[in-house]
Amino acid sequence: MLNLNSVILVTLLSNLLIASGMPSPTQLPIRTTLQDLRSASTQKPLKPKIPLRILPLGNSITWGYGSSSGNGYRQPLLELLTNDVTYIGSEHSGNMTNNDNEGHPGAIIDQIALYAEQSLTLRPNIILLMAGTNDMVGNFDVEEAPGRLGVLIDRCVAACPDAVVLVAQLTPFLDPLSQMRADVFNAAIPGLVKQRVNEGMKILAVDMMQPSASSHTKHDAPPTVRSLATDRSLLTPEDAIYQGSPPRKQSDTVKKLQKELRMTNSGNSDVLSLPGRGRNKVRSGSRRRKGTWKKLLWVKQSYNYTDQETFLGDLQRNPRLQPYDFWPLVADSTVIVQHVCSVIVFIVCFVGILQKQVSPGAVVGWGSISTFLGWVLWDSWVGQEEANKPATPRLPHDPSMVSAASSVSNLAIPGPSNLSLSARHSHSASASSIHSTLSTVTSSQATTPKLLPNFPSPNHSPHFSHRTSLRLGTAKSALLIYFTLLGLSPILKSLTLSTSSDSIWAMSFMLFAINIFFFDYGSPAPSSSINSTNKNIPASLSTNAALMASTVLASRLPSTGEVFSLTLFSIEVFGLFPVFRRYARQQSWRGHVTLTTLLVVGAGGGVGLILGRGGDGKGILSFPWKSGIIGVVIGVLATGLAMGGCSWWLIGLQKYKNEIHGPWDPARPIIRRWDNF
Amino acid sequence: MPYNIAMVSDFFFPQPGGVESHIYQLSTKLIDRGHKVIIITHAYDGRTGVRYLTNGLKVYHVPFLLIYRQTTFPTVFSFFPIFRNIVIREQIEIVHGHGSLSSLGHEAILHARTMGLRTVFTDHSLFGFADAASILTNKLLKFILSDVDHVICVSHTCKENTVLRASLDPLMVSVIPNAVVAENFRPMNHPSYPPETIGNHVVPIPQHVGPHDTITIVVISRLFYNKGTDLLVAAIPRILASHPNVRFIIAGSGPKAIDLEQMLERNVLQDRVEMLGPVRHEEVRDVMVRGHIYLHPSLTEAFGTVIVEAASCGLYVVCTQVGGIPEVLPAHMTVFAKPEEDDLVAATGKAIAALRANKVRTERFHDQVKMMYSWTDVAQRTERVYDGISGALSEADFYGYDAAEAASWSATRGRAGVQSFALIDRLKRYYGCGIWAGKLFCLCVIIDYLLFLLLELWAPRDAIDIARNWPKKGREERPTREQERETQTQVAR
Repeated sequence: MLNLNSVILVTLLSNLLIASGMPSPTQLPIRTTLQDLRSASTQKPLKPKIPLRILPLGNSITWGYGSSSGNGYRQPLLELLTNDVTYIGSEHSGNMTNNDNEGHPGAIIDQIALYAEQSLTLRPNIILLMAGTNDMVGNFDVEEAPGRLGVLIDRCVAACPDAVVLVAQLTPFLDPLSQMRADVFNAAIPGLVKQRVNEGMKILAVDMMQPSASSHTKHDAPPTVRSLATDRSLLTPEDAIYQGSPPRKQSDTVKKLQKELRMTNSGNSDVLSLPGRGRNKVRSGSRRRKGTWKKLLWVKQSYNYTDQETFLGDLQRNPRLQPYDFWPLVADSTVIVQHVCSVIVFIVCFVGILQKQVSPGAVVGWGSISTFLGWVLWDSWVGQEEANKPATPRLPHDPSMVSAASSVSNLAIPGPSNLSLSARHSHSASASSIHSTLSTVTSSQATTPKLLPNFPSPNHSPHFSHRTSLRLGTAKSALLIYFTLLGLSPILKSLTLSTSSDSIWAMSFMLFAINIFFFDYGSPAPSSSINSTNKNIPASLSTNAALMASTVLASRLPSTGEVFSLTLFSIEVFGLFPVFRRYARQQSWRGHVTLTTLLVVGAGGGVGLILGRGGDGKGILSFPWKSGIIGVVIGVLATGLAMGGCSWWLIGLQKYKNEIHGPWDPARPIIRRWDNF
Repeated sequence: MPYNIAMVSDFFFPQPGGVESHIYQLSTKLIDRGHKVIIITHAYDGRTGVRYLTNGLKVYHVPFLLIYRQTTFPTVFSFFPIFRNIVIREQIEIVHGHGSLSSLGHEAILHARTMGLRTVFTDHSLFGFADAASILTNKLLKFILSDVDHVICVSHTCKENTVLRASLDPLMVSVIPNAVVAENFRPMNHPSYPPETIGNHVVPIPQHVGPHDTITIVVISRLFYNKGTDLLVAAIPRILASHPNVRFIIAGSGPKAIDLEQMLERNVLQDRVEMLGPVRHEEVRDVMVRGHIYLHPSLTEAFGTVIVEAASCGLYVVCTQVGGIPEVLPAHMTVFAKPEEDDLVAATGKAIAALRANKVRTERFHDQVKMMYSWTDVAQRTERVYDGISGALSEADFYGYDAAEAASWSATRGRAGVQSFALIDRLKRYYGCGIWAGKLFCLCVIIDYLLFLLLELWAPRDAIDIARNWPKKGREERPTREQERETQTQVAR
C-alpha cells in the first residue's frame, strides 16, 4: 500500500505547489480521483526551487514500522520529489540519513498531538498528518476521534500558519471491525477539512483507499517502493505488537460480532474486503480453513499455519502503563528534594561546627526546638485524626514515631546497635503499614496480635488515656536517647582516631549516597502496604547509613560536647524528621510546600555561607550574607531546574517503554500465606 | 528422498531430560524412515569420541568447555573446524539445532549456513522479555535465527514466543509437538505390548472409584520455583484437610524439597504424603500408575510432556493454565486451574468429585493419547519440513498459500522456503538485527566465511575420509547415493 500512499502524497504535493501560487486556497481539490493523480503526475509540476521542510507526523506507519529499510513511505517520497527536501521531527528511524520524523508507534491521536508540540516549532512548511489508526484498532473513543483529529489539525495550523497540512485518511485494516470504525472516521475527514478550508486554512485531505489504484501503480513504482510495499504484506511480529497496542479486552459480544463479520465476509467478499490488496487473498484462504483450525496440539491439523485471529491474541503491551503528567511529577519530586536538602543542611552544620563558625549548642538547640515543635504539631494532628475517627479500634497508634524513637534509644553501643536499630525500625514500619491497611479494612482486634506478634506494647497501661501514655512514652525515650548519647560521646569521639580524615570523608560520602538512594520516598498508601515487609529493608538501610555517616563524621570533632551535639542532631534529622515530613505531606499540602521551600533556601544559603567564607574564616566576599544570598538564589534555581528537567526527561523517556507480556511469562503464583503461621 | 541429517545440541544422553529424549526419539524415527541421522553433542563425563546407539544412531561427543548446566561456552568460531570435518565426513545435508540455550546448536547453524547447508532449529522452551539473561539469550537467538531455513516449536505458545523473540516471519515457524512412547506409559492393567494380534484386542475395563476409596494424587516434577512447588506446598494441606480419603505421592528432588518437608512436619501429614525423592525416567510410569490424579502446578511450560505421559498412564490431570499447557490435552482429560492456591485447591476438589462420581473414563485415556501423540508422526512432520526447505515440496504445498503470493515474500529470499546462500544475501538478513548488533553480526558472519575459506585451503575436502554408513536392514534398505558410489568403487578395486 505504501507505493500508493506515496504516489498520492507526491501528486498532492505537486498539486499543492501549483495551488500555492494561486490566490485562494479553497480551490484545492479535496478528493482527487485516480485520473487526477495520473494527469497530475505526468505534468511534472513541481517547482524545484522551493526547499521543502516536511514534518511527517503520525504513528507507526509514519515511523516506518515493518518496512525493510525502516523508512516507510518517507524514502519513496523523497526519491519522487525533485525539490530539496528536509524531513524534520524528533524521531529518527530508518536507514536513510534524512530520517527525522514525528511518527510514534502505537500513538493515539491525543498522544500524537502531544508529540507534535516538539516539532511544530521547527517551522515545517508541509505537515503530513496521519493519525487515528491506533484509535480504531484499540476502539479508543472512536466517536470523538474526528473531533480530536480536528483539534490536532487546529494546533498544527495555529503553530505553523504558513505550513500546508495534508491530512491522510486511514489505510485499510486487517480487522473488519477496525475497518468499520475507520470507514466512519475516514468519512468524517473530508468534512472536517472542508470546514477548515472554508475558514481559510491550507489543508488537504488525502484519500488512502483509492480502489484499483494499486494495480496500476504497482507497475509504475520504482523497485524500492515495490519491495517496501510487498514487505507490508507479511505479518510481522511488529504488526501484532503495534496493532494491539492498547490492552485488548474485548467482550464476548464483540468477539461474536467479529466472528459473524468474518463469516459474512467470506460469503460475499465484495462487501467489506478491499480489492487490490494481496493481504485479503491470504486471509480469505485462511478463512476457508478457519472452521477446522484450533490452537490445540492434540488435534491433527496443519502445523505450519499461522492463525490470524488467535496468533498473539494474548499478547499484552505495556499493560500497566500509567502516563505521567508534568506538574504532578514535579510535585512528587519535592519529596526527594526535601530529603537531599536535609542531608545538605546536616553536612553544612557539620562543616560549620568543624570550622568553628557555628556553635554546636546553637545547632542542637535549634534542632531540638524544631523537633519539639514538630512533635507538638504531629501530636495535635494525631489528636485531630483520632477525634475524626472515633470508631477505629484502639490499636497502638502511630507506632512508627514511637518505636522509631524507642529504637533510636537502643543506640547504646555504636557498632552493633545499628543492627538492632534496623531490626526494630523495619519491624515498626511494617507494623505501621499493616496497621494502616487494617484500619481501612476495619478488621477485628483479634487478628492484630497474630499479625504483630512481637510488637512492644508498653503503652497499654490502663491508668492513663492512650494519648497520655503515648506522650509519656515519647518523653521517656527522648530522655533515654539524650542521656545515652551523653554517656556515649567520649567513646564516639575516639572511635576513628586511627583513621585518616580522607577515608572518613570518602566513607561518609558513600554512606550519604546510600542514604539518599535507598530512602523510602514512597507515600504510605494502603494499597502498597501489602509488600511493606520487603519495602522497609532499604528504608532501614538508608537510616542506618545516615546514622553511621554522622557517627563517623562526629568522631572527627575535637570536643565531647560537639560530638554529642552532632550525634543528637543527626538523630533528629535522619531518625525523626523523615517521619514528620511524611506525616506533614499527608496532612497539608501547603505545609509540605512551605517546608520544601524552607529546606531549599536553608540548604542553598548554608552552602553559600560555608563556601563563601572559605576555610580560614575570612570570606571571599567581604559581606558574609551576600554569599549566603547568592547561595540561596543558586540553590533555588538549580532545584527548580533539576525538578523540571528530570520530570521532563522522565516523561520523554516514556516513549521507549515497551513491555511485552504473554502466556509465556512465568505465572506469579498467588498464595495465601497466613494459614501456615 | 532420504536426507543426511545432523542433530546438534548441547543436551543429549547420558543427561536425562525432555530435549535429550526428544532428539533421540526423533532421530531413531527418522532413521526408520530411511534417513541417515547423526547427533553432535559435547563430551560428557565418561562419554567421549564417537558412540553408536541402538538402530545405528551415531553420536559425536565433541570435547568442549562447559560453563553452566551442561551448556558449552559460546566461542562462535572454535567449533567450526571439527564441525566441518564431521559434516564432510558424514556428507550432511541438513543441520538441525535444538534448544535455545544450547550454544553448540546455535554455532552449528551459523557454520552450516556458511558451508551452504540447510538448517532447522527446534525451540523447546519459553523465555520472557524482561530480565537481563533473557535479553541476552534473545539477542543471540535473533542472531542465529536471522538466517535459518525453518524453525520448529513444540507448541503454539512457544511459536508466538519464538516469533517475538527472534523477529521471525510466523510462516517459517512450524509447530510440531513432543510425543510420548505410549508403550512405556501404559496404565496398570493394560496388557503389555505388542497386543497386535487381531481379535485379541482387550477392551479396557472401566475403573470404578467408590465414594470411600482412597484416591491417590501423584506429583512428579523437579522441585524448583518455576515448577510451582510453592503452590503445591500451600495447596496440599488444604486438599488433604477437605478430602479425607486422599493420599499424595510426590516424586522429584530440588531446592524446594525442604519446603515440602517442612510443610509435612508442620501439619503432621507424613502418613498421607509419600515423598519418593528423585526417580529415573524409566520408573516414572511405575509411580504414575499408583495414582488416580496427576497434579501439575507448574508456572511456565512450553509443552509439558509429563502431563501427556500421565494421561497416557490413565491419570486424570489437574494442571495450571500456563504457557502451552492448555493446548496439550483435550478438555475431558484435564481440569485447569489458575496459578493460584485457591483455584488449585478447587480444581483438585472438582477432579476428585468427578472421579468419585465415575464421570471420567480414564481407562480410555491411553488409547486416545496413543492416537494423538506418536514419535512416528513427529518424524513425518519433521521430514515434511526438511522437504519444504530443500525444495522438494513446492512452497504452496509447504506454506499452504497461493504461490502467487509467495513471489512477494521477502526481498532477501530467492523463493519462499529456500533461502539464498549468497554471502551478500545472508549479510542483508543479519544487518537488520539492530543498529549495533546488526553490524556486529555481519562482522561475525564475514569472519566465519573467511574461516571457512581458510579451512578449505588448509584441510581440503578431498583429504577428509567419507564415513561408511551403518548397514540398513530389512525392507527399509534404500541404498543412498554414497553407498552406491562406495560399492561401485569397491567393485572397481
